[in-house]
Amino acid sequence: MTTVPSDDILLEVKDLKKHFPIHGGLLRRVVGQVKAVDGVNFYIKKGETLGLVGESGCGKSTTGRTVMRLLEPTAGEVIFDDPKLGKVNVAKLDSKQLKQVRPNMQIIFQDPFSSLDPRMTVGRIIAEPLVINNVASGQALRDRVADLLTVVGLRPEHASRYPHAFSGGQRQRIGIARALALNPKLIICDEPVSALDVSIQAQVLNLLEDLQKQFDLTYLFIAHDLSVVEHISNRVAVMYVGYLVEMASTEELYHNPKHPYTEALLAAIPKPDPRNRHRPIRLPGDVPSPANPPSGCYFHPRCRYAKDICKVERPKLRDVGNEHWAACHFAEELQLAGVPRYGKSAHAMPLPTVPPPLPNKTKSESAPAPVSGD
Amino acid sequence: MASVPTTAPESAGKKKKVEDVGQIPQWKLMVRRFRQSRLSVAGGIVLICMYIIVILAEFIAPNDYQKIEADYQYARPSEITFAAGWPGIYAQQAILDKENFTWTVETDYSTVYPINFFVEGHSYKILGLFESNIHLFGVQAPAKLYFWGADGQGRDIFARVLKGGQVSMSVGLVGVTMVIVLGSIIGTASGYFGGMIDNLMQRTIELIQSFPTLPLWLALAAALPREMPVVQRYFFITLVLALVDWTGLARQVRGKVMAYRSADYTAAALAAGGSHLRIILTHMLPNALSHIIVVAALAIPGVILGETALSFLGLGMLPPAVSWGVLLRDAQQVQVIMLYPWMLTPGIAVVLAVLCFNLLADGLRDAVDPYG
Amino acid sequence: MSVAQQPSSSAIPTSAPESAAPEEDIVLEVQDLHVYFYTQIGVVRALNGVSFKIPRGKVLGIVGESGCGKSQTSLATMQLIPRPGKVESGKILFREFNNQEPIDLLTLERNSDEMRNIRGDNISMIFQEPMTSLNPCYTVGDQIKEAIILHQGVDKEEAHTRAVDILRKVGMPNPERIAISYPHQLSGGMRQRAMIAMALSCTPTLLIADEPTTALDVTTEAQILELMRDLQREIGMSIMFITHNLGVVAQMCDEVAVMYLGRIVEWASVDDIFYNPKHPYTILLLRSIPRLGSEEHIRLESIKGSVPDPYTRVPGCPFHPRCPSFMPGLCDVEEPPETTVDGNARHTVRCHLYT
Repeated sequence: MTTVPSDDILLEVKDLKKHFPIHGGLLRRVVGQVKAVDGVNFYIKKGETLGLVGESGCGKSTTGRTVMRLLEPTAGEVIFDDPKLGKVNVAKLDSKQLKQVRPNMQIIFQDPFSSLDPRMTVGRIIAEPLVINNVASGQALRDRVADLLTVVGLRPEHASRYPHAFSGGQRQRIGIARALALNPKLIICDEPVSALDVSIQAQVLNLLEDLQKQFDLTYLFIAHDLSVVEHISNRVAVMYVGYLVEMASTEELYHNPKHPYTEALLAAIPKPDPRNRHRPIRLPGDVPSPANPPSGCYFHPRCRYAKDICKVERPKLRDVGNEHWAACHFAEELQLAGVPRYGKSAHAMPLPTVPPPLPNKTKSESAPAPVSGD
Repeated sequence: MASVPTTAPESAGKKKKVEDVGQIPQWKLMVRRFRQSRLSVAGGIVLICMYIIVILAEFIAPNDYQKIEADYQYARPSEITFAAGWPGIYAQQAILDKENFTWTVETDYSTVYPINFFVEGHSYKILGLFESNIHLFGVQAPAKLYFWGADGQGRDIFARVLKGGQVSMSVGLVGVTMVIVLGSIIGTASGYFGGMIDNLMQRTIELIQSFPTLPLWLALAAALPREMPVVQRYFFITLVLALVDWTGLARQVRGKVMAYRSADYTAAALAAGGSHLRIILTHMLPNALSHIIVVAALAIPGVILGETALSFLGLGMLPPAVSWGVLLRDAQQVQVIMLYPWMLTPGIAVVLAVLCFNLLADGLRDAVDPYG
Repeated sequence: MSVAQQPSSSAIPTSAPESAAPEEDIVLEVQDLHVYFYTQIGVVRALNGVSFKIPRGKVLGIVGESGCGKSQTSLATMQLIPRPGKVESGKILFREFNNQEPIDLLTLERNSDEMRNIRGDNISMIFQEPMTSLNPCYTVGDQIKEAIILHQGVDKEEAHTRAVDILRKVGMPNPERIAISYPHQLSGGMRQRAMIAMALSCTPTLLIADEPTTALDVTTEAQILELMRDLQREIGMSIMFITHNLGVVAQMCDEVAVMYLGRIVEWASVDDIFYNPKHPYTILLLRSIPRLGSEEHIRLESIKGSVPDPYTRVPGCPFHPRCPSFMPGLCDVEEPPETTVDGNARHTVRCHLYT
């Protein structure tokens, strides 16, 4: 589908589908399908971050897990450029080949509590991928774990502790260390900061950015917070009811959206600026159920621009120029409002700065600072 | 490896605190929580004592549990006296009532026979291994020491309750071991793989659970040939009891495993290329273990009561083997209980054992799941 | 950034100079509230002297990270602090009407009739998870009707019309049908609307909203916020709006109290909080959220460390271990008093930089 040279592409997902059967009746026969992911197409270039946004239940997490083959895809291809095997279709690999490819794709989870086995020490948790793949053992294993802990900003002696002794942000760091253990090429970040407080969220986002530079990582960053996605992504894809509605560079997507749903999403973000209060675009009705989606374009019952064709024909995701993909019949015609551009000089709201300590008030110069680092 | 990008050091106060709790494994935290419930700890201690006593039954009991003493039919529990400054008993004698032609046992208060420790008596083997003829207590002949009286054939009830405990209290453990093996394997498989396997197992469990327990036990036990050797019979009876009880555990384990299966650490292990067997062994079972132990502890009283009930009805263990149920069978008639209430002592043993197991299991459950 | 130097650190600006606002109409005034939890491991000081006022018809936002005590503040107001928590000291003064003699809610018995009346009639509460306050066994309409009958003493038919009215008011597309639906038949956004309808059914003087939009998607969140703003203006009620989301604060609130470890570290109008923040914690919070639409990639500011665990007591200023403006010998010894900023009685901060 792409116009990008295929050498630059690390992962390409073609028409990926994941349907969950609905069982009913006494004999638990299949009475329907939840089309959690229904024909998703996207690609990720080497070294970039693709943000995948959407509201809850839109299938973004399922997409991430299906790409990893943690869920078996119903249909479609997942072409991954493995450093050893070359381009392989992950969706079709047998278990032996899959085991070879998996170290190169790792995942970071949302819930910092359920992602760490409470019965294992942090050291064992981080060592698990290394042990499974027979990468290291004995002292080498312990050294590698200590290295990984340092890389994510924890201390090597944390290895002997159990997860319950750590805060949410630290647990997320442990999860990141585990994902890094096998030197992956691609990391799928499944809402990695959604469960964290704002200040901790910033720590983890900064860490992810640093690690990307340091280890040349490629991220698929799944999130529902559009500000976070804008901050971290090079390109962004928007999902609605199991389908990609728009994909473009972050710049393009936020300032020049081509899909009415993206426009509504962007307008809904509560802006942290009291002088810029706004009324959101009213989306009538609710997000349709993926078990029983509407006809034609899934967004048409809520779309204020919908015309007759939208009720009948489902628009394909197509390149409307400049690597900007949109699944709307009127992508070229519609003039949609994005986020206003704040220039560097004309930033709407100045960032406040923390005042320095007042030297005349500091009473004991010799007292050590209570914390170090950062 | 490279430098630290962002560090998240904690305040000094927190560091100290973490060092304190951070390195304690979860199971130790559970043990700590368990220790807080005194009643459960007491239950556990009583149980440990009971098991030690039961294992050393022949050593502790002064008399042979099988020996028939025609002279001591329904002998009363020996009266313990401190007349000699040392605990002792009076001898009992069977006297023929010449008018009614019945034997009655009467106490002869003329002589005190002191209770001695570590006396020689009949020989026995502990656990079938160590042969000895030393007993913890004993009195000199012709007196006989009956702590809890004698039954209709003059056999020592104290010795019989201890000996019967070997069967009754071990049946719980052996039965529950079978429950654990069956329940965990089936429950884990059902919860982990789901789909058809799960469907099949769950329907089977529902079917087994829908049978009324007692008639099922009765039917299965009645199918065992009566001339079967004692050890074999014992094994089959526990199997019969376990066959019904594993379903509950399997359900619990299934529920737990399903939860762990959907936890992200399982996904992480899969993503690292871990095999299903490895994940089951390193993530599913260790996490479910505490629940398995609790459910097992809760199941033991049921098995003990089951064995007692079966034996009481004459379908479990059969004489000459002794178990608490077999002993209680002798106390079936109201007349016997009215005249010789000490025949009910095996019942007290059953109540004590079941009560202690329930207390223990309760504490374990609270320790494993503080919010449950 | 000149800061009014207070002559003495004992000045307490929240109980502002009488001349500043003599006829100020305060609905709820919390004074020096302390809430402690006595657990087996130790004492958790959830609230350590919280004081604030909510003027009539205004929205006060209470912001902070998890564990800062923002939810405990709301629960204490409703006398709903769960065990083993206890209100140690403080006053919660509530005035239903202007110039009325205030009632100290803490002097009322937790389960007394008066307290229950206040809870239903005068102060309503909505939660993050609507299912916690909607009973799954009754239809939405029945639950609203019950509240109306109980507190307004009207007959059933009148209650029904009022229930449908209020459902229409909260933007339900088909209020008659919604009234006969059960909570589980509604989507998350609809449930939140139903809960708001229930909370508003008795036209409360004060609405306490505890993270009402945190569980919702952004498009639904925007609509619920709009709805709450419109209703607030229409009914003229006051809102105590608890959230961790600074975007929501900016959109919703008139005044903001920033909480950290059971204390209010800064209190100001929403404009001052965003355009003239003073406390390092407030500033760092603002710097740690990604800015939408910023042209160049600005690295996020993170606050080092994390919120200390609740059992430890931090001496001095609770924020000093994480503060970049930490002044040794002062911040870790003395707890900073409340100080007004630039002589503005409506902007206070607790930081040694301004004492």
